[in-house]
Amino acid sequence: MSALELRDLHVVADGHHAVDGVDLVVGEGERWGLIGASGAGKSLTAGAVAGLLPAAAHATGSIRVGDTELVGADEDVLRTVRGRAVTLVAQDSATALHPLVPVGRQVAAPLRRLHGLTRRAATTRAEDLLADVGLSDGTARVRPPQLSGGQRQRVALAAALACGAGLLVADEPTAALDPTVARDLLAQLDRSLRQHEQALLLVTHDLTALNAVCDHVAVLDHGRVVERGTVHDLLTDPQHERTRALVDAARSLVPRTLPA
Amino acid sequence: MTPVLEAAGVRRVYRVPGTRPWRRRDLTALDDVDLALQPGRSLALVGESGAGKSTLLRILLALEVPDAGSVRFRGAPVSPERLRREVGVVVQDAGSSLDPRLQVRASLREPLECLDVDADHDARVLELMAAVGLDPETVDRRPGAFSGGQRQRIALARALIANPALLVVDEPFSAVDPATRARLVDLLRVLAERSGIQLLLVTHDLGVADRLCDDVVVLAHGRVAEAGPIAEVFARPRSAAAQDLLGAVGRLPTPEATR
Repeated sequence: MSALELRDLHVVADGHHAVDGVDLVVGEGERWGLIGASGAGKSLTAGAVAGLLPAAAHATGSIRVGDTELVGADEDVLRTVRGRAVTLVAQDSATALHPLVPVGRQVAAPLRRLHGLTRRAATTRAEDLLADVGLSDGTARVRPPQLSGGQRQRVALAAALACGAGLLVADEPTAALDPTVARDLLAQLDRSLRQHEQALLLVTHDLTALNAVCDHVAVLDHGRVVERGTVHDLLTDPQHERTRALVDAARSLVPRTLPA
Repeated sequence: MTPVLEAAGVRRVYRVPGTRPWRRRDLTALDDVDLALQPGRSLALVGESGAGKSTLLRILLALEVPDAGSVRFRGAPVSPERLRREVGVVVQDAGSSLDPRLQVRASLREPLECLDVDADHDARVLELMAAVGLDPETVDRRPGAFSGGQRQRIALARALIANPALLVVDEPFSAVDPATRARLVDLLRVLAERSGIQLLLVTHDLGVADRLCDDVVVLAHGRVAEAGPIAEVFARPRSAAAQDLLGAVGRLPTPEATR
């Protein structure tokens, strides 16, 4: 069974046909990137998969997460899917943290709610997850305002991993971070996915981030997939002109000289 | 040769209020910072968030006074009045710095009027619109009618319109997608080369710094960790701070590797 199957997905947002017939299959444990220019439909595709489309957007076609169909599903079904089968980390996920609650309890919450762990077991597990994303001992007792932006984003990642869903949807998880912090977060994401055997759908503008964590990639243009393949093939030998433009732009923004 | 812009021994300390009086402490944002923008060479100021880049920039632009040290522009102490005519500034997220109620024409005319520049203002506005790759026909629209990338172009035009000798750009084009950013970086390079304008660039994007500048100053924890020609520093970083920054640069597979 695949982690995610999109068949002829269409999303109409504010009367605009933003996603126009996307087919995509993410196998169990596979890591797919979704790239494309601004407005190509990447985030709406990710939002539809996470069951979190804006109110003004409407999806048709088919989105299967595991064996559950999300298109047309009512809120009760979506609630059982979110967290259990699919979780989302967004660029601003850290803003969803409660500022007055110690982060350990916020990471433990999905463990207790979704997996029925006892308070004690959930607390221990939350500490492990925070350690998995590279946060030091004692972070669990700290409240979000006492942490840096990068640390908060790691807490959000730990909370998403805590759900233990088969599919993690990450929408520009590192866009708001410093390069050094982004590199560390991506390395931790890579390790955690391997450890928890989760599949990934990564929406990003940053082809170096794509290169760091994904093995497959689909290129969106005006709501359609114009090219797909392995990350290595697509970055070294892009076929479609849209892909070539994205890869050329990314290459022009890498320093010409770097230490060996 | 006298540097165009020079900082010597700059120190800046902020008093950080604590939750209790005895928890107040001093935060040294900059400590003994030297920097020189040599004639004809563009300079990138790089470092992580919190390294002191923005504080140093405000001091260089005479918007803030250092606790110790001095800043000179062409050999004389800086003042806002002196810099106004000679320095154009593109602030971070420049696209949203435009007055949304003003037509682009009025936004672009403003520096010419404030500085009382002796030129045909309307002609200069249309010239700059064309120079930054925007349709001069759209000059009577308001910022809301333009895309994020186009608004950055307008902000760039506004910074260049009074023909400054030095253009200061803070985190250029960080709010746009890479393809747009690459186009804007190319545009900035062409404009700077064509008009002989020097750049002072503040960024944590080393790729952008490399495309636009000759020299680099690496700032870490309020101190200069390393400085020199950008090609040398990027190829052989000596300080831990520079090595860390360069180590974080994302890599792409090289096409040759497949053959």
